Amino acid sequence: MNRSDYRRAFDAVQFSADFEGRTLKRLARVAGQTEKENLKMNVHHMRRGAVLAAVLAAVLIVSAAAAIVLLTPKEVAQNLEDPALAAAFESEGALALNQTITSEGQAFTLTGLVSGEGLSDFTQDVDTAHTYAVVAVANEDGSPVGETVSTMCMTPLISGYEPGKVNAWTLGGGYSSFKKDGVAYYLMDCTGSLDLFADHTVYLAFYQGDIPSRDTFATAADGSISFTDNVTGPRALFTLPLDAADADPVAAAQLLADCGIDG
Amino acid sequence: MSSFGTGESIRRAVEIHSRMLLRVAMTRLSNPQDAEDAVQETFVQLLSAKPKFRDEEHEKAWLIRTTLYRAGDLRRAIQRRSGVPLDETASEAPAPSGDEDADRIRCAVQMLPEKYSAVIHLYYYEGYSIKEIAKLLALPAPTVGTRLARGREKLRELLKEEIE
Repeated sequence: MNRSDYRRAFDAVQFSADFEGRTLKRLARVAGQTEKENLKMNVHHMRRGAVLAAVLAAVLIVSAAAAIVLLTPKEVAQNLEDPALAAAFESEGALALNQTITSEGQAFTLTGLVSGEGLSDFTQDVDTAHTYAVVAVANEDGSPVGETVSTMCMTPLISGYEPGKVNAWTLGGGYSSFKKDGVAYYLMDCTGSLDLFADHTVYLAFYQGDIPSRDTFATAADGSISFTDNVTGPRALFTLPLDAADADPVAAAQLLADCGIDG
Repeated sequence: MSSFGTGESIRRAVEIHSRMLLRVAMTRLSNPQDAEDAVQETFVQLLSAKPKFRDEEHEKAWLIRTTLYRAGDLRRAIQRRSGVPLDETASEAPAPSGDEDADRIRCAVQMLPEKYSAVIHLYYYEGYSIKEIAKLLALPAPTVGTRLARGREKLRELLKEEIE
């Protein structure tokens, strides 16, 4: 195969002749809808009474800021039709969390974290460990989240490593998302076990934007990471509660090398 | 630094970049309609996020990266719905084009790990150098070189022919 063969292969695909026109019409609709949402001032009170009952804390996750019931990580994985990952979130090694950060009217809740090999029915490289994290995004006033939620980025970051060099893009992975009952759920799948870096501070960043860069994140002299003033819009930077005993600097260095990252 | 968000700038982006982004999306999706959905989502994200671009190259890089992620997420969603694990079938049967060799090459590219197919496509179709790809994907140049080499090797195994 040469370059000419490759180009012919992709030139052979027939796309819709009206794609550009349809796209511009859709963008016009979205622009109009966004304007309406900005003017709307509805408050939906969702099950406040039931939520405040402290029943089955391991089953119910309540967003402290938005006072709504969230899906558990197991339920998120089930919604994404991944029963193996759903089971993994209930396993001994999984971390059940309920950390909420509020920012500009939105509540970000980190609800679960699990790492290991072969945890998902949809892992391409079954012999490589992956880390899965679930974040729920809800509006503090209980109203359904809008379209802009789909523009969010989700990435792990590690203290001592430049955010531009070690992140979800360079490690490999992505996220799946869906909305249910006015809440957006994100399941991050990151290649590599973040536990390997547990002797560092490991973050999970959630923000509107692009690949991490010096515009987005500042690194202090001690290696700690924070958002810069350039980042606008709702955002959250979680510190993952990993056990330093699980750190493996040698394996961590190998993971970075395997990903072609010059740490 | 030029901002984005005017009707004219969005129209320009759709007209200039749509075909390129559709091909990029096809490195992860076998169905052209799915590729169109992923690229539309990219433009919706552009409209909503209103990122500030330094120049046209910065805008193009953002569009390519966002399309790759949208296409990857859509692929995962499709495979979940079909119940087919990724390690058994990396993509659905490709939309036949009438050109068997072309279909075979596209299928092989779609079966590559996502981190390789992006680099392979930007190198072989768009003709970018390793350095330019590194800038587009915000990766270190050595990482791009490694991924290009590994991607070629995988393609060689899948196509059972030499890759130039």
